[in-house]
Amino acid sequence: MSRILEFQNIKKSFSGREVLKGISFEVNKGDIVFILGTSGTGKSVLLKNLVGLLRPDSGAIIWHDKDISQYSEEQYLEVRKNCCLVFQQPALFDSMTLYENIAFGLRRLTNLNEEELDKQVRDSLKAVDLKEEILSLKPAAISYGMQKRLSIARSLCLNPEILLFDEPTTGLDPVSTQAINQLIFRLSRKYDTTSIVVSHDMHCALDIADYIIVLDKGKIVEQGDVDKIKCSEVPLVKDFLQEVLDANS
Amino acid sequence: MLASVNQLLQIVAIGVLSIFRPPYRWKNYLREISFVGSESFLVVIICVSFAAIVTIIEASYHMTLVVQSDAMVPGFASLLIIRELGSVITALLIGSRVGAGWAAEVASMKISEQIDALKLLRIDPIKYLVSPKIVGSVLGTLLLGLAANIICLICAMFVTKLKLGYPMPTFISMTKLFVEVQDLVFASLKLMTFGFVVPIIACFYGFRAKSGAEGVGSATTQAVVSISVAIIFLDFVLSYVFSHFY
Ligand SMILES: Nc1ncnc2c1ncn2[C@@H]1O[C@H](COP(=O)(O)OP(=O)(O)OP(=O)(O)O)[C@@H](O)[C@H]1O
Ligand SMILES: [Mg+2]
Repeated sequence: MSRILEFQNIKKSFSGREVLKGISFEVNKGDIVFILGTSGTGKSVLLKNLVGLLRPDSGAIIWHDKDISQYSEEQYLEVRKNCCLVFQQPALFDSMTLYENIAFGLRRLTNLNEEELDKQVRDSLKAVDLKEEILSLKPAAISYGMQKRLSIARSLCLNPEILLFDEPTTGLDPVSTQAINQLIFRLSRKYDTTSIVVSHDMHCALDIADYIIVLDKGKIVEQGDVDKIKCSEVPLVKDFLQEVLDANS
Repeated sequence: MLASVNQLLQIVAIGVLSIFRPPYRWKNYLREISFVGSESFLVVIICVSFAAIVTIIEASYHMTLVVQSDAMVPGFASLLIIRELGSVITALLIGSRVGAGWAAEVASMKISEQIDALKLLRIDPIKYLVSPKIVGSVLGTLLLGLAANIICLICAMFVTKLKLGYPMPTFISMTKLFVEVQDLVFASLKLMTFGFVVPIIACFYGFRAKSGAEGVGSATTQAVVSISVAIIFLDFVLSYVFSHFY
């Protein structure tokens, strides 16, 4: 399996407070990588470093054998076309219809004609199980869960090489949660899309992840495949696992 | 502190320069102009009308007291309205009504990560959000302010007739005598300056909003207070500068 992405000793501080304290891991093509951790450990900051919304203070992010952490805004375009971030919040543009929300990125970053664009919008909407009737509505008119799914569709339609999900299922009902996890799984298996999923949900991590990373206070406390995580002796990991056991019983 | 000044200057520089650079988002410009108009028209009209009434009543009382005649009231009142009241009241109302709306809009876009989403699509948030607001606010404030001046004068004219008994043609000829073209030019300059600072300050606080629901609230409050202070201060500066030309 080929390596597609590598974080090398990434550090990031905000006004003297160190949020990421040297993060290193690798991602293989087509894998589903789960990053688990409690609130405020810097999971979102980590993803934002990858797409260039934040820049690491030190360390390197290797994407296709090049260090992108020092790229200019212009160079980052290429990265952002191929690594799409689904934000923790839906982050849909309030002033646009849902159709425009999805089409906006396509118009900005690709050269599709209107017909192809329309097809792409509808396809990605179908992928997240939303009906076409809602396309003419504004974001405020649909539920939070639907907004979250639409925000996934918005990234999906760009056919990225890597999809980054920041807590895609937080705040969703169990059925939608299941549907989104299945979607991530399907994408990965069918199109070989690599996914990095930030989550609190150990249960679905054990279900669909190829690789799991557990963060605590800006450091990686455990990483490995599902079997390794299941036998981990790290207290935080055991807490996460205990929760899954409790939920099952 | 330095970072804030830097950010403010960036908003001003990019916001202004982007107006003249494609792509021109005409729809956004029109939307902001109509936002300024629709949000503030009614309240501006009501407020300047009352200001006109108070001006006439106060001026006539004091003039009668001091020089035993209120013959100069129409002229002085017109001058005061055009040089000060019409513009400042309009700007303060637009500042609180529209400025609050814009600060809240940008702040909620910030905390809901829409600003980040824009950046990922290679859209400069300042160009996308601030520039249309500058255009909308400068033009909107100018038009609304001129309309407010006219309505204020008309109101003053009615009150002068009802309260002081001067016929309307007298009011008009007195106004013509006192008010010069340069007063109108200065009033327009004032209005455009006020119109310029409203979106700048509103967006500045919006972009700095801290996450959480109170983030939007405090950004909005801070924006409105700063806008009001800025307008009053700029009014003083401009009046001082213009006074050399009277
Ligand atoms: N732009 C920023 N400026 C200053 N501090 C920041 C910034 N972004 C994040 N932080 C801080 O970094 C820390 C980690 O934030 P982050 O959003 O990455 O947490 P998280 O792991 O995603 O938590 P959650 O599960 O609640 O989303 C927080 O304490 C936050 O206050
Ligand atoms: Mg987060």
